[in-house]
This record gives sequence, structure tokens and C-alpha cells, in this order.
Amino acid sequence: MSDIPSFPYSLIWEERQIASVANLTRKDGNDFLEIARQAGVKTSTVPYPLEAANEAIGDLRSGKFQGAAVLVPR
Amino acid sequence: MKMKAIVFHELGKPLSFEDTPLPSPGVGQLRIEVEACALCRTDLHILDGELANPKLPLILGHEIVGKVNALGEGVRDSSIGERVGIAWLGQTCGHCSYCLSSRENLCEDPIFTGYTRDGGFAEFVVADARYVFNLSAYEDPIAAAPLMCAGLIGWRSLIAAEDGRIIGIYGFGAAAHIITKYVDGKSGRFLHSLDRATSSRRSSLADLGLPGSAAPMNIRQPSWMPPLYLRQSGRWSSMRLNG
Repeated sequence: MSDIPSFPYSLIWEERQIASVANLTRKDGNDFLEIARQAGVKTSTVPYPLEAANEAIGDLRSGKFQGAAVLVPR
Repeated sequence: MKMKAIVFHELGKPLSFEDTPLPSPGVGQLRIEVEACALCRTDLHILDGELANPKLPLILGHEIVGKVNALGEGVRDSSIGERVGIAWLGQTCGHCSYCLSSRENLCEDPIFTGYTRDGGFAEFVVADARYVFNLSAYEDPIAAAPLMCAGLIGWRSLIAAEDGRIIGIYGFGAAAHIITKYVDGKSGRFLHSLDRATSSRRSSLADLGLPGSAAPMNIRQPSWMPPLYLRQSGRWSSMRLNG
């Protein structure tokens, strides 16, 4: 995890906020999965066979593909 | 009984593809036949030792879509063959201050899928039935997999931004990508990416834009705040995402 770049204080003046998020609650999951379905959210995926996990990880590290790598067992 | 799995044995070593015991669902658990499992940057953090004390050996993977294959004792709300999703939150204690205040994501004694419990880089995975999401309405398991973490954390970010009109997202990975597709520019909300943009991200963003929004996504490098912010009044939030 790398540092966040610095920026001028003026950009958060006037009670602007910076927040982080972590993980999920089950409510998030239930809400989002319903809304994503209704909204027709489309993802961009790059499938890899399960046995190619190391290759997929290497490609993720190097930013080789667009979208999300997905392992498919069979 | 055996299954194929990708196993993480040791820091700095490649993952190994091997036969491992087929897991049996315990009380309140399901066994799921994995159809798809997306990779997440958190997987890299585990592999690099940045997230301490993973279960070892470990099967990674926490963006899982699959079909219920076996029911453990006491499970009533699931049926064999039903499509479900499994995310990072594998189990919580239910009684710490976070669990009791609707913030189970910060539970003091959690189990995390693909980190402290085996995950989805395998043919099968076992999960607590209470933490599994019903995906019966989703027809494409591969397309649904990235929603299980990247989509969810993006959604949580959007909730955290409350009524923020101008939203900056730091770390433009899959999470921000998915949320960009959700936020409707006509709602008067604007998403901005704040990141050290790579060329592949640049080109993928060029395809996105925002519906109803005159301005395309802003990618600034190395400064992380587009000048637009200086001129806009009103609240904005920016969020660090791990997608």
C-alpha cells in the first residue's frame, strides 16, 4: 500500500472530507446486488483458467489488461 | 475426495496448482462449486505480506460466484444448484461494538474469505450460509464475479460520500470503474478519478465517460486534484479504494 500524494490544504478547506472505506456489510451486499442488477451494471472481465492463476496475478500486477481478471475452474 | 485448487504456501513463492481435500460444509455452512472467482488487488497485498497472518496454506480469492453443491447441518434457506456469491466478509462475531452498531465490516473478530478462511481459487469452497448472497437473478457468473468485491467497495464508497455532489475516487481500479457505470451524470453528481494513471487505465477510461455529463473523467498526474475542484462549491468526498 503506497502513500497518498500530498496536496494543498486549500483543497480540503471549508470542511471538505476525505474518507476511507473497508470491507462490506451484508446490507451493502444485498442493497448493491439488487441495484446493480436493476441498473444493468456491466463489468469488463478477462477470464483465465484456474491453473493460470500465477499468470493472471502477474498480469494484474503489471496492469497488462483492462477490466477484472476472473479465474474459471472449468 | 479431492479437488483442484491454487494454493499459497509461502511468501515470495509462486502459487501451486494441486489436488487438495474436498472441503465438507460444517454446521450452518454451504459447499459451493465455484463457477468464477475474480482477482482483487487485496490478493496481491496478501501475497506480498502486507496483510499480516494469513491462514497458511491458503486458497486465495474472495470474489466468488458459484452454485450450492452441499448443505451443512441446520441450513434451511439455501437449495442445491442455487447460484450464490461469496465476498470478503466470511463471518463476524455478532457481539462487538462494531457488529452491534451496523458496522460489521469492522468486526473485531472476523473471518475473511481467501485470507483467514479458504477462498475461491479452487473448484469448491465452503462458506457460512448467513454471509452468502443470492445471485439467482444473475445469469453470467464471470460477469458477476467482480461485483463481489470491487463493485461492493465502490458501492460502500458511494454511500460514504452521502449527498456529496462532486466525488473524487483515489485509486482508480475496478471499484471506481464499476461505480462510474452506476452513477448517472443526470443526477447532478460528478465522479472524478484521482490517481497515478497508467496507460491502460487511461484508455479504458476513454471508453467510459459519464452519461449526461458534458465533462469526461479527469485524470491528472501526478497532482491528484483536478483544478475543477477549486472552482466548485459544495461538498465533495474522496475515497481510497482497494479495488
